Amino acid sequence: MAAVLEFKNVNYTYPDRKEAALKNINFTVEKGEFVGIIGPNNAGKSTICRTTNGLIPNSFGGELKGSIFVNGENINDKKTALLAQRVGMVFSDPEAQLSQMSVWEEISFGAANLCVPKQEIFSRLENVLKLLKIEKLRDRSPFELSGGEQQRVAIASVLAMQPEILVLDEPTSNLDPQGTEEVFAAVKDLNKKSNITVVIVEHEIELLAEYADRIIFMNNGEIVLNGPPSEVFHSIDIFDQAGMNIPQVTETAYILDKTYKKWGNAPYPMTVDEAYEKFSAIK
Amino acid sequence: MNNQTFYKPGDSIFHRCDSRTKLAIIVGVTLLSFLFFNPVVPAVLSIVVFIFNFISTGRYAFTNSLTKLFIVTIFLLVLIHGFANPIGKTPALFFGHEFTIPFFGTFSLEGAYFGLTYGFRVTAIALVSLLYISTTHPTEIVKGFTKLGVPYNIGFMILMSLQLIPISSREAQIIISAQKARGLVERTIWDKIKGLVPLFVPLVVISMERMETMAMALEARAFGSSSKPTPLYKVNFSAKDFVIVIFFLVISVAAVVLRVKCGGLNWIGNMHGWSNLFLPAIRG
Repeated sequence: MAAVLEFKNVNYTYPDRKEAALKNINFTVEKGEFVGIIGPNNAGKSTICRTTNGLIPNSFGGELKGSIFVNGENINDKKTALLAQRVGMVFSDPEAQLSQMSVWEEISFGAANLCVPKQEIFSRLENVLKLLKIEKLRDRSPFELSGGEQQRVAIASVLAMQPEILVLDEPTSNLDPQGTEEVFAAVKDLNKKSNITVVIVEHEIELLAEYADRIIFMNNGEIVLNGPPSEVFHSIDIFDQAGMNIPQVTETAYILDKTYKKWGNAPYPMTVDEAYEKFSAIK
Repeated sequence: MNNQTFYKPGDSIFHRCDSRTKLAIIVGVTLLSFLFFNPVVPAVLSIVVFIFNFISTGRYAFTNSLTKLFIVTIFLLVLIHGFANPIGKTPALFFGHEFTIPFFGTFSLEGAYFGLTYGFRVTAIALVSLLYISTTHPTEIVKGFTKLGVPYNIGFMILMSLQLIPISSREAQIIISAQKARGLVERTIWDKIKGLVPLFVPLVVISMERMETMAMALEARAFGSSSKPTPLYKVNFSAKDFVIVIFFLVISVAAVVLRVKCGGLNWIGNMHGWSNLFLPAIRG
């Protein structure tokens, strides 16, 4: 397995700030992985996203040290517009990232900017419309859609550029629960069926526990934990100190273990289904 | 979005025209209506353009706000100029009586002629512009400008601002509601003016933040990586476009020649009765 994204000793400070936003960040993302980044506010999650496609340092300025590799190529000095076709980025405000008069133009926009031939653009368009199940929205204006639909259009518009990684910066923070489910289901589908590498910054810990292959927990610009969900959520003290929640079923298991000594050696459950299985085994 | 623009989807001849053809029509009609100083030419133009509108958008040609506004405008111009324009010499007779408003003036034929001329001129231009914006999708308008040589970035900016109008107005509504919920009083006009301050500050801040995200999102989608992105629309300057453009070109040239040879076809100095508004008096 090859590393699609690799951070090596990355340090970054925003202009006019004293404290570094990223402190010595090291991690890799493998091809086809679904990686969730979590952490309290100002932990540096969005900053990581912005470094992957060159918005940092190109648009934000500041001092970036260390190296970032996309598919083995150092991207430190590349322009965002050039990186756009390699790292697809989706932002949290669904409306602010849409700019065209209709959904199909919106989706074709990125590919057209890259001067992809028209024939190719239209075949990609049909493809991503199907992938994200938004064929019906084809001719609507992106501004009259629901939040979940808008966010899926935004994802589709990025996918039409055929990036090597999909980076989502809190894609569900402006959505209602239904929209959140829609977006998560779509992203999971992309990851599992089309083998697209996904890096997602999220607050929906329950959903991440269910979908992600790996979770990176950040605090104060540092990576504190990095591993599969079952491992990461086991370190409940660390989450407590940062004022973060863990999945409720995991916490329940933790309380059963520590307070009532009724758990044993089994790992804590992450999802409701797992919890059902394990809780019913307790006598 | 559709409620915010004048665009009405359809499949008439004007919908299928290239947007540059329609721009040529606008230029032609403007030229024609200003070449001659009499009410007949602009009136005929207004009616023709109105028929064009009716062909392309049907009932919308009557129901839109512009048509109504300009019918009122013609009346107002005739009234104001009729009474107040110092050009007026010949009093108009209403059933054999002059009509005078004290301290204001007598309704004169010359004034009415002047008012009608200007009224129909602006109406013709307004209606032909309506024809353009009601049959051309905003994207096509911008694409048309781009093909005429406006840089892609500027065309994109125009399109983007069109998108922002409904969004900003919705945001303004939310802010007003929020300020009212926190006790903003709006009883007198002065209150309303003062109320603009707590509206504008958040609106500007929100818009700036939105712009920042937008800029990032655009860059993340390779905006600016090429100054000539793949065109997604066909260039559809077809035979009928040529016919229309050449037709208007011929008429315009003929009109200019007529104007140079025969003057402005102006009979304002030779008014005798109501009929002279639309028909010149026979000289003799």
